[in-house]
Amino acid sequence: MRNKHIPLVMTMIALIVFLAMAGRAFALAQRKADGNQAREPRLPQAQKARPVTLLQAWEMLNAHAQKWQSGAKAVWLVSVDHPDDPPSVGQDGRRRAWQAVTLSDKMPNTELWVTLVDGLIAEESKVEGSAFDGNTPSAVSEAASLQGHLPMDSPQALKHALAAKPELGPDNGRGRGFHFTLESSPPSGAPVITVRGVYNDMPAIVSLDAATSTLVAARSLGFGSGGILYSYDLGKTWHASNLTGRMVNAIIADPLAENQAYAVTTEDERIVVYQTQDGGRNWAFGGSLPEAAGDWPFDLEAAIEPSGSVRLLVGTASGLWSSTNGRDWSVLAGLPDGPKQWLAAIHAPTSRRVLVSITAGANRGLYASTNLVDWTELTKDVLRLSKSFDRRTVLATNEQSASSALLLSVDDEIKTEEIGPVLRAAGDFTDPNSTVLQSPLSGTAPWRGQMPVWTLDVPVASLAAAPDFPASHLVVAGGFRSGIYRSNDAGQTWEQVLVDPSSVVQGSGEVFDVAFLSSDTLIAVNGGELIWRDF
Amino acid sequence: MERLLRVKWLRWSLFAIAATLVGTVSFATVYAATYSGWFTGYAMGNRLGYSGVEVQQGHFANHLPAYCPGDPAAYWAWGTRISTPWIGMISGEGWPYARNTFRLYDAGDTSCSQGNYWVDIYFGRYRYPGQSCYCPGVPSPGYCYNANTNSCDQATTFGRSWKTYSGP
Repeated sequence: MRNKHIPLVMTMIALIVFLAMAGRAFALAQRKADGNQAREPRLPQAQKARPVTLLQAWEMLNAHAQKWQSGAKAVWLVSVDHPDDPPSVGQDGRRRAWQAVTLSDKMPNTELWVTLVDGLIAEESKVEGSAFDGNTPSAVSEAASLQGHLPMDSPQALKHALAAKPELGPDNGRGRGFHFTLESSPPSGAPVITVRGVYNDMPAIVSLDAATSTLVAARSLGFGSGGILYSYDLGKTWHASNLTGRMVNAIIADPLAENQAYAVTTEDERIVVYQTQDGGRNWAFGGSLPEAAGDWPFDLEAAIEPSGSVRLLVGTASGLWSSTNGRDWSVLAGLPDGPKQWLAAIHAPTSRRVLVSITAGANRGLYASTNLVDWTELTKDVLRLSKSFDRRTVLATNEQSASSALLLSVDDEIKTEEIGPVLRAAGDFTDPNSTVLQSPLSGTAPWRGQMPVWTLDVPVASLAAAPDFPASHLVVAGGFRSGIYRSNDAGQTWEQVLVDPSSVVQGSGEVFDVAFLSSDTLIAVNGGELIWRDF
Repeated sequence: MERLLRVKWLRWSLFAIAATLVGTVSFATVYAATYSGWFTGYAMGNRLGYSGVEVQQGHFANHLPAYCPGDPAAYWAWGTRISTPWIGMISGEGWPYARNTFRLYDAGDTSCSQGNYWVDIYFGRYRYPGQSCYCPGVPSPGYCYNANTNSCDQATTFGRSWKTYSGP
């Protein structure tokens, strides 16, 4: 190449690199503008994978702590996922990413959070004005004792944990593989290494004394309470049913018989169906889904068959399961793969339509069928489904955008404009004056086809309108840790009828499902609490 | 090389390439997006969060992918940091302070009732001596310490707030 061409070539290279950078900056700006559409978590994409043990991470982080403040110490260390971690990660006691809290006697009210990736400090942030709980009055002096008592490293800890609890397996959900934590155990403050994994597909931990390797605790997480409440007086007073002490995932009123309803629960790694015939006071076992259905039902629906019987539908990650008797279940073919999270069945005098919202994956979108064999994709948007008081229409709403609400009936769908993002709705959707909306932004209120005045400003987890709603205007809202509310004027005013659902049925206080079984009988679900138990 | 650097055009070109590369590397490592969602507050309850580590002030919970597959934030890894507007808290010693970063170490709202990007921030496990160790919405009996504040009161006062925050 002749010298006189070099400036030209170099300038062109600079131009190309500049354009590439500008393109990347534009893509980043777009992504920022899209905001809520971004989905993949990112740790900094570090160089070659270099997993380290707990002790190696501890030493590196303490060395880094010295650069921050002489005498500073890491007081809490935990491994975290790296985006490229396989499900088997951690089986050799090593992890790529670790996170620690560092404290210094010289700055007693400042925490330094540090993330270590592949042996390098990837990120750090300070929180000033606080004091890391640390479980002890002096977390820094606790750290000093940790420093002197760490004869065991994560590979040995995993070996001891599996010897004590061979059932402990690597996680394959959020928290891949085996994880490790080093902390001081209350109340003694003794250093403890905890190995995290799963037991029966639920999170589990095995904690070992870091000095002696003896087992300190083995616990796994499970649902320990929750259940169904019922009301025979228009939602004014609530009582405990006999279906309690378990996680009830969804309830549905029988569309053909007053005071009858169905519930699905999560029990012993199976999905179980219960039925009531007395307005929700007493529930009887109705059947369980096959093991292949998994243990987590997203939603339950009851559709009227052309023959005049009821078909139960359960949406799961494994498919849309169907049964006409509650005992024999099969997967409905024709729907694409993906979690069937929201279901709705709407009816006309001689026909019905079932709607299924697939909420993740390549096939996400809203699907409809009138025969449960042939399915049509209505939209690729992920929409939540709210049924009208008479089960004749569904308002399919986007919780993040105002652009794509649909009003669906058995044989029609109308795009609804200017409704705003909506989490759920109740009432008569053919009449804006009789529709109650819950906005994800503002609260709960009558829609009235205009900018609503939000009348219920508490976290709400469920809404239902009475079957005689046009006459009674009765709506009930299940609160998210905020009680139960009722309105007898279509959402213009609200009355709190139950302050604490756990005073009736022990649970999380998250009343995420409410259903009318007749014009004066209701049932509601108080969610289950996640509790750590010994295993 | 020395002879090449004497050429004015070439010097500027090399400078432009170097500056551009530096800029590109910076973009690759500083990555964040903004999200909006409901924030609720909780306190006491389990000592361990869903992740299996002890929940502390500064931790938060959000949805899980197994229960809420439609929430993009449900796929964030344990330890994920979010940056928020300043949120007031009270330490166990009773001192008010404010945080604007929180770390993901717990999960909740298994029914996904609160919508995508929901965040539950943890206010601690403190109570005044003699008070109940109970806070609505968390497993009972709770796990808490005697302190110079009651963190359940703070969580209840915080209630619910719609916030825009940055994360992965």
